[in-house]
Amino acid sequence: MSKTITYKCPGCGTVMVFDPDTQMLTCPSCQESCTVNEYLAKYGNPQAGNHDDSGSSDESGEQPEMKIYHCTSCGAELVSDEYTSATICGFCGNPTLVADRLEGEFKPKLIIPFKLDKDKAVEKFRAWTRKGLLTPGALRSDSMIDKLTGIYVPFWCYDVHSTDSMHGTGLIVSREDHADYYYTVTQYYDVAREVSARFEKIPADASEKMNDDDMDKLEPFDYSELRKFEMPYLSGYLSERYNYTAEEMFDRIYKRTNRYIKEAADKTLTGYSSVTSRTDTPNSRVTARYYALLPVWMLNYRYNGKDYTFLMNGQTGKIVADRPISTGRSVAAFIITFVITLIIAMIGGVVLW
Amino acid sequence: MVKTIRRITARITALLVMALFFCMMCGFDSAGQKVYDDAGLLTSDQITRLEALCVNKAEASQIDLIIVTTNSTKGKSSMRYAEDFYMAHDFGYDKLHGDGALMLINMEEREVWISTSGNAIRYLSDTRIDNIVTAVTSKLSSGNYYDGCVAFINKTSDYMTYLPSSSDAGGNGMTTTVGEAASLSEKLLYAMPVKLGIAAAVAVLVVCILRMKNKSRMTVDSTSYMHDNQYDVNRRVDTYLRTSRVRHEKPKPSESSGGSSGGSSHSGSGGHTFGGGGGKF
Repeated sequence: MSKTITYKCPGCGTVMVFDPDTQMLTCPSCQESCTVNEYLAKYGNPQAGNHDDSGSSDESGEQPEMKIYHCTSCGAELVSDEYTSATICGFCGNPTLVADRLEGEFKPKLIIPFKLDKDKAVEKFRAWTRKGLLTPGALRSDSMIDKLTGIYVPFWCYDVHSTDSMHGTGLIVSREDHADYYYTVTQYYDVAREVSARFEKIPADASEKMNDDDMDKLEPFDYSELRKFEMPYLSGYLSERYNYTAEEMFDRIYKRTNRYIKEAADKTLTGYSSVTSRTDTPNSRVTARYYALLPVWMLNYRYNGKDYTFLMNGQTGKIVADRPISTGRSVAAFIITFVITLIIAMIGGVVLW
Repeated sequence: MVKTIRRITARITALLVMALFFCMMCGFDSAGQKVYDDAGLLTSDQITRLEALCVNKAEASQIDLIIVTTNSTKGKSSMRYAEDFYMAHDFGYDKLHGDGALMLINMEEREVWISTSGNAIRYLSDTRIDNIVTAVTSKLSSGNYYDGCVAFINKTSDYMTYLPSSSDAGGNGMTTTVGEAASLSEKLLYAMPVKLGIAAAVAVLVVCILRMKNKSRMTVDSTSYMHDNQYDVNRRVDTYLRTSRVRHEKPKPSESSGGSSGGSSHSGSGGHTFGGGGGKF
């Protein structure tokens, strides 16, 4: 129960780092590697011997040595272990990070480790910029790519129990044909449904700096790779502390589960042409919540005086990003298309006439 | 940048070449018979020459040109006979029973009838048909059947090069002729404003498509986070209340009129639309 966590390589004593490729702790000097769990099993847990899965906050006082970077330009606060050094702020792109010792707690319960390392993330970013013919070439510069930052974003994952009590009038419309006229036949039904569902681990980011919609679009995360949080996963990456408590985000999560449960009720309304005068009484209740860190690659940049954000799911590689458009490339594309079409029209004219 | 330009160029070229090929693939049967001299007004040598002229002019004007002569219309009107003849054979430049013009010389009534189909209806306005019929009947009345047929073919294919304009009510204003006489540069520059317009429109469209933002969307749905992707239905009520019946009159089918600036048209046998006109000689 030392104060600093050092996952020292059992072979040579160098500090081991987490490698997303192999999902293992790797020694940078002698290539020795093992999973976090293997390490803990063989060499003991430097944090605490407490394997209690309820994992709440009673592991008091065993806070490892951690750093917090304050960004003097945008106010971001980024957390990392003592072996990770950062210079550029991932949120504003400025080299204005000041390191400090972390005061207070940083105890996420669960983590999905990064699966795409920096090289793969850069590769995917480059592929994305190439895909847009009108995407400015400036996005491919090295100085831009350097700003691509891997962040473990704090999320609250909620288990929610939802019910919906729905009532309405169902219409079945058919047509009855005669020689010169026809009938519209409408059958009316009294329709009522009660549906319920248990939602598991719906994620909602607890970071103030992250756009909620963008974060939602980064889903889904593959929960089969969800691990109990251990410090070494953090090595080489930055993280944040949550800005919102679990309770502060209940409304956000209820909005979502109430929509989902109404959609579930929709699916039970089969056989009707339409349902009118519908009323829904959805109700949701959080049954459990988990503080989890989920991996995100992020690049914030300015182009032509406008801010853009490139986000990528650090596990699945799903990209959520706005594409800036280069005026020069637009003009070039216009001229090329114009000239080619004109030439073809002229030659085509000769062939056809 | 150069690479990008090359990629844009390649994509656009491929698209346009495909469009051009599609245009050229239109099935026109140049081998089929075009002259049906059932009344025996022409010599075999004349028929051969007319056949060649029909095929030649058909390619230039993009309509099928047919000549039929008969001594008896079997009780039908000239119009009906001409239209039935058109439908009974595989005529049509672009497709079966498509663009085409058929001239019937009816010796029973000493009458000429020109039936138009498809695109020819738009190009051969009533005034133009009258002009053609006048030119043809002047030859036929003096017994020059071959010259009459040639006049039909030439005048029709000339008219097919441009649409009748409202100001050109007489249908005579042959301002531009794209014949064999036109030089290559004339052909290249023909209808230049139209070509420039097409090029500009295509360019605008392509740039707009390229600028469209393919926004990322939510890929999780309502069942993604549900336990076993399932929800429970605890109560399901579907109680029949009543039935309502509302009577509606069916709308009477209305006559549709022909092309706006083209010739008047009507529905012939089998529902195919024809235009045309005729005259005595």
